[in-house]
Amino acid sequence: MKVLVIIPAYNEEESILNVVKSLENASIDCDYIVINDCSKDNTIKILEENKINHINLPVNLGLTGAVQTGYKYAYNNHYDAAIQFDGDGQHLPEYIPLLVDELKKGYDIVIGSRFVDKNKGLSLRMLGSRLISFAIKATTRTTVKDPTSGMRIINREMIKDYAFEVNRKPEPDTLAYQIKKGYKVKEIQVEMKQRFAGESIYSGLWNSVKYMAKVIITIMFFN
Amino acid sequence: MSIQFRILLIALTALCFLVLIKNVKKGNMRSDYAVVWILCSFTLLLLSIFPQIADFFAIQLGIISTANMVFAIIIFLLIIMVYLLFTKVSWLEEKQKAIVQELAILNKRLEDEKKSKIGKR
Repeated sequence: MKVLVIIPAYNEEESILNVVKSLENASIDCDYIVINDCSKDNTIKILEENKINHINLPVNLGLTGAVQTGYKYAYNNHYDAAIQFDGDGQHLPEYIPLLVDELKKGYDIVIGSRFVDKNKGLSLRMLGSRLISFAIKATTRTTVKDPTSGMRIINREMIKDYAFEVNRKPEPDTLAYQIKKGYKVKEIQVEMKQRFAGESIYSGLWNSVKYMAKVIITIMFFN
Repeated sequence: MSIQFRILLIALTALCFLVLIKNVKKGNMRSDYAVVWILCSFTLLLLSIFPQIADFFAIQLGIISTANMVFAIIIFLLIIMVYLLFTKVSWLEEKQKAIVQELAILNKRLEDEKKSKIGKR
């Protein structure tokens, strides 16, 4: 099974090298590609100096546009599966084979979830996660414990869908849509680290509220 | 409506008309988009010269104030136009994103071929 690891990177000069090195050291049977989303810092220099396989976007497309570029690349190069893997060091490469194994069992999407065996905390962020879980449960009767997890592997059929259809951002609302369509989604427990550096793009109260509104409304009305 | 106000309205409409034509000729707006605006300004011009038309329709529809009817119609048309713009902008963004991604992927292939080795690890 040809597996591609997609690493979106926007201004990740402090962590991108660590992320790629840890991926290489884990010696997993997969290729990787870094999508440099028109970073303003030295990310591109680091990518070129270290001969890291990468694509440079000429303008900033945002996380979803960058990941989609990776899916298009994966589709064009005939990969059987693609994993989204964040460029800030939150995701751990040793869990990739577990995700791949699960996908081989016939699932369409496998999520690296933080909360299969563990409980969610009570922070504001986790409240948001619960709300999204509830919305997915209400519309699809399926429990997704960690819908906002960025670590997910999808098979070739899903790659085509995520790469070329409109309104298939790699977000929880799309997940709910795919479940509704009858695709099989599985969650497995993974660890996630604190990010090496940089800030979450979902930080700040206003951004969180916007994100929540967008996801919930999409799940309720547009799926 | 006072005669002064009508003259002001006519003058403003005529000004909008001229600006529109100048913009289209300079190439700032595509002519197919300008058609809607030309029609709108014609209608406004017509109404400011012959407000009786608006009065007639207001009476027929049982609306007491002609101004209310005119406002309602204009707001309705504006909502439709903004809605159409939203769909248009969505499509534009989607197309632009596709082009950017395609360009980046092509660029990558070009670089790979230049290095004449596949960038696997």
